[in-house]
Amino acid sequence: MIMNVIIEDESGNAPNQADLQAWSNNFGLTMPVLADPNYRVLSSYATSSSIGLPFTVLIDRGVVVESVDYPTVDDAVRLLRAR
Amino acid sequence: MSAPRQVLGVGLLLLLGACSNVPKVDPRQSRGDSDDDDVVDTADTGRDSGGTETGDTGSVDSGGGTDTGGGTDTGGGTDTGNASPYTGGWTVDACSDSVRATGNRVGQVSQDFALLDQYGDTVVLHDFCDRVVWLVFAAFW
Repeated sequence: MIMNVIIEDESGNAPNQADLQAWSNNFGLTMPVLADPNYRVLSSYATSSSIGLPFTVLIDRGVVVESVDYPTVDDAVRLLRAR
Repeated sequence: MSAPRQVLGVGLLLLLGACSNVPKVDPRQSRGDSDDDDVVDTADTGRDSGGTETGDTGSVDSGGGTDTGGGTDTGGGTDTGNASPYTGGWTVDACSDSVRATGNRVGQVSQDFALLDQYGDTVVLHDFCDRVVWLVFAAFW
């Protein structure tokens, strides 16, 4: 499952529900599109003070953090296929 | 020369007139279609409501009933008792209440979070404890 976590709107403010809905509608997203005000969740995973976007966190079954920062699509596919 | 031009002009007018009449028909047809769409949408809405707005209330759970009807999920056991509490229709894994977070570093069990989604629901990470989750952080800019 992919979750798209939005930290800021175009103005640098935390996105509201309408923003998230417009975003998901615009791209036809059926996955959760979430707002992360003040980067609280993002910061909790980041290992350095400087963060680039997109920033990704891969979480395995059991909610075990598999990789942080820039996991590849191959990493995700590998985990999705493993069971 | 002028006669053929007049004929041509009249022909064009007639053609335009005919064309102007045609659209009057098409919108009706499209309306008819839209009505049909409305019907379909309504039906869909019934489903979506099941998962969307009204759905959160009661119809949604009914949708859950439909899923249960899937039987397959029921057999799965995991997804069974968990009719989706989310308007988006994402099911909750059975292990959601038993997850014990240890930290957000690699190899640790991630801390939980609860974030607003596009439907106005609050999505909880641990609800998806039995599947691979890929968080993609981004911004609109």
